[in-house]
Amino acid sequence: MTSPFSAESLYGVASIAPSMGTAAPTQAMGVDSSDSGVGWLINPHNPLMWFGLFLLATVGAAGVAGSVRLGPAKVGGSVGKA
Amino acid sequence: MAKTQSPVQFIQGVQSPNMVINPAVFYAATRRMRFPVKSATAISGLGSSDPVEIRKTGILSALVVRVTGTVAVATADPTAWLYDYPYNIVKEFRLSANGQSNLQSARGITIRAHELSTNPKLNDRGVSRYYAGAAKTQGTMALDSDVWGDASGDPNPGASSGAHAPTTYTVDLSYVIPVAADPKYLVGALFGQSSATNINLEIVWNTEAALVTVGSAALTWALTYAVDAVAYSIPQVGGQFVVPDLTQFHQLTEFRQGGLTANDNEIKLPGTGVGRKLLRMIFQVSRTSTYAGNPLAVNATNYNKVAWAYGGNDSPETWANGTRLAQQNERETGCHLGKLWGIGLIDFASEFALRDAIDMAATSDLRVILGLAASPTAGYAQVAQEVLAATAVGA
Repeated sequence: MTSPFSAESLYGVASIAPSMGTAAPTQAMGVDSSDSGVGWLINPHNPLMWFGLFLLATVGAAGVAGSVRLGPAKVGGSVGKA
Repeated sequence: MAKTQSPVQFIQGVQSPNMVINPAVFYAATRRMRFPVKSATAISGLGSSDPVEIRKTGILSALVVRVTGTVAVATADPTAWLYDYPYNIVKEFRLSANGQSNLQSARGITIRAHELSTNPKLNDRGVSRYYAGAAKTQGTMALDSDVWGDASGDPNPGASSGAHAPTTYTVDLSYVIPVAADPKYLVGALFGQSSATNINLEIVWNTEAALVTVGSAALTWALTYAVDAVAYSIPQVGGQFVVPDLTQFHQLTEFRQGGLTANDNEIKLPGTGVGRKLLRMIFQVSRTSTYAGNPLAVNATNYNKVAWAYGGNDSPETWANGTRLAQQNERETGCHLGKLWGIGLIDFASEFALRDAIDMAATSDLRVILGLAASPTAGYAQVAQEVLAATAVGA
């Protein structure tokens, strides 16, 4: 309301019209990439990664197997000791 | 084909026909109306109250109340008149509208002081009245058309009328209830043009014991009251109804604060918050727990400081003593408000409201500081705050 006779103009009261279009966006928050997320797990500086590789070499990866049947045809595959 | 209806609109919380807010067009096209909403009627009695429903018409700007009648003193028994007489015959004017209770809640003397502070054409012009038994020509806050204390022995506050009894005395007072904060631009006026509107004025009458200490003979009161409304029609321009800016409610509310001591009394204003603008503060300190003692005159003897403050200790305005504030008030109102009736006024709106009015959203713990030179005996302060408060979106 910009009328010179409005309460806003005469008394300086805040306009009560909704003003969502002019609302300030939430400020982008800073993200520390090295200190959060899965990137930290595969970091070569992380001793847990080397421990994981050691387990993989000594115990072996878990096997994965599966098959899909589409009518008379059957497609299957396996990785490791399935 | 189905009949279509215009969309529902709300103004000040009540359903209304579709209207356009355009103050400039409204002023040019509206018609000022003045009509009685209550013809002269006997009051229900001192200590009681009379509710008045205001007619549902137009944009309500003000209510004018007249209280008149007689009080008969039967014998020559001494009768001591107290300082609630005559203005506080009305202990409280309560105005409520559309579910907004207590838009106005103030004593008669506060309404009169407010009128003197807002109407630039009005001051007490040296109207002579008897006060505490002596003729006073300054600070009476009286209109010449008021009838009280016209002669020695007439009922006047702080005096005995026993010497002149038995006599029947006339009382005549008028009050302007400021429904709108601004009678010119109608900011704060009430939207009355709806069957859903419900505007009520309740007039609470003071008790006889607060007005007068009666001797052995009873007094006979015969008071009447009448109420006129000042309202503006809602014009139709270019096929549309036009109204002024009705986004604000106008409040003049008063509260009592006891426990006053010598030196700084920091009295917090209740109800501060976002969407509220403080226009004025009016205060008065009574020396005693009742109104038997005369109000504390606003001068350097009684007040060693007057200020307002907020937050930790932000104090934008300070008056070094009561006299300094009273001098300013006399310049602002043309009336020595603090001389007899002890009224103090801190006015943020009369000079330039846009600049000076206090945004109550940014002034937490807003308070008035009354520095009293001496502790009043069980005295108390009456503090009134005049506020513009935002209504709901839709107006």
